[in-house]
Amino acid sequence: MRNFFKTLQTLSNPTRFSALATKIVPWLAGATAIFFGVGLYGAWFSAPSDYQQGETIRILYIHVPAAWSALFIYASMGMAALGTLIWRHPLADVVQQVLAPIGAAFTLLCLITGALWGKPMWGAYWVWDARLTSVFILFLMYCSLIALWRVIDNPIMAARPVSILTLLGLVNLPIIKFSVDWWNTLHQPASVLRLQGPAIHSSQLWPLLVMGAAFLLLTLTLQLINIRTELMQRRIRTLHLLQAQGDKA
Amino acid sequence: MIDFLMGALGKHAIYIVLSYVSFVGILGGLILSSFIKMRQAKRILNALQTAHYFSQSSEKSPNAE
Repeated sequence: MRNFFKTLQTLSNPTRFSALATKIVPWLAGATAIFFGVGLYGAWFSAPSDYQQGETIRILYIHVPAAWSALFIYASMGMAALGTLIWRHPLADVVQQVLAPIGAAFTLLCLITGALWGKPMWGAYWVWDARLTSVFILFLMYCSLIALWRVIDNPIMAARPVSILTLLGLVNLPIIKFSVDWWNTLHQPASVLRLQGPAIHSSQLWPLLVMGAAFLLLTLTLQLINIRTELMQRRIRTLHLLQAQGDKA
Repeated sequence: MIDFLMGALGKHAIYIVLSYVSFVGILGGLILSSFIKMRQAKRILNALQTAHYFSQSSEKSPNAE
């Protein structure tokens, strides 16, 4: 635990963090490509079609990892919000800022693929079912957070209200996870992350887990790239201010 | 093409294809926009840092001539 905080402290220096990110990103990007390659091969050529759903089961391999990533990213943003409010870590607000658009994109992908899967299986693209509605609220939360970052010009000033809103939105995560157990929903109950173990056959499970890992690696890669970009943009803002002050003097 | 897809993926081929198109589109857009933003920021920062350096030192900027 002590080492963890020491590492966090070391990485709080933006220059040190950028240098580390520059070294790690190519490896992460390579691993992401490999995992996507293996996962998509498994999804298309190794996993059998479902006896009830037929070939539409192929949508599972992007819909479910996108949903997992959307939830994981929001939980990470919650941790970063605590980092901003309690520990005032200089990179915590940057992490929140760059994760919001990635999370919104994954949630949108989850909603679109869910609708495209719902039409042939349920006969409707959309129903106001507890799971679908709570995921839609997650998407709206992401959009509100992105809007709040854009409305307030100074990112350091924006960090506090954004963190509070992020923490409020955390309430939605257990609702999404347990909505299928708490209410009667059209959406099927959990079949992978459950106490009794996965309910799907291993031939369909492994490509799903590999795709999940690929989405996670992609999130980490994009996060590191965007943190570097945001740090550069903040430096640009400071240089603009210095230039303006120089012009005044 | 549509007949081939219907033959390979069944009658719901269009939903499967559209799902994978949205997957490629959204993730591709996310990756591309990240790289474009990073390149733009790098270019602007380099230009500003050079300008800032020459405004602080007595050396003349090559662009000044």
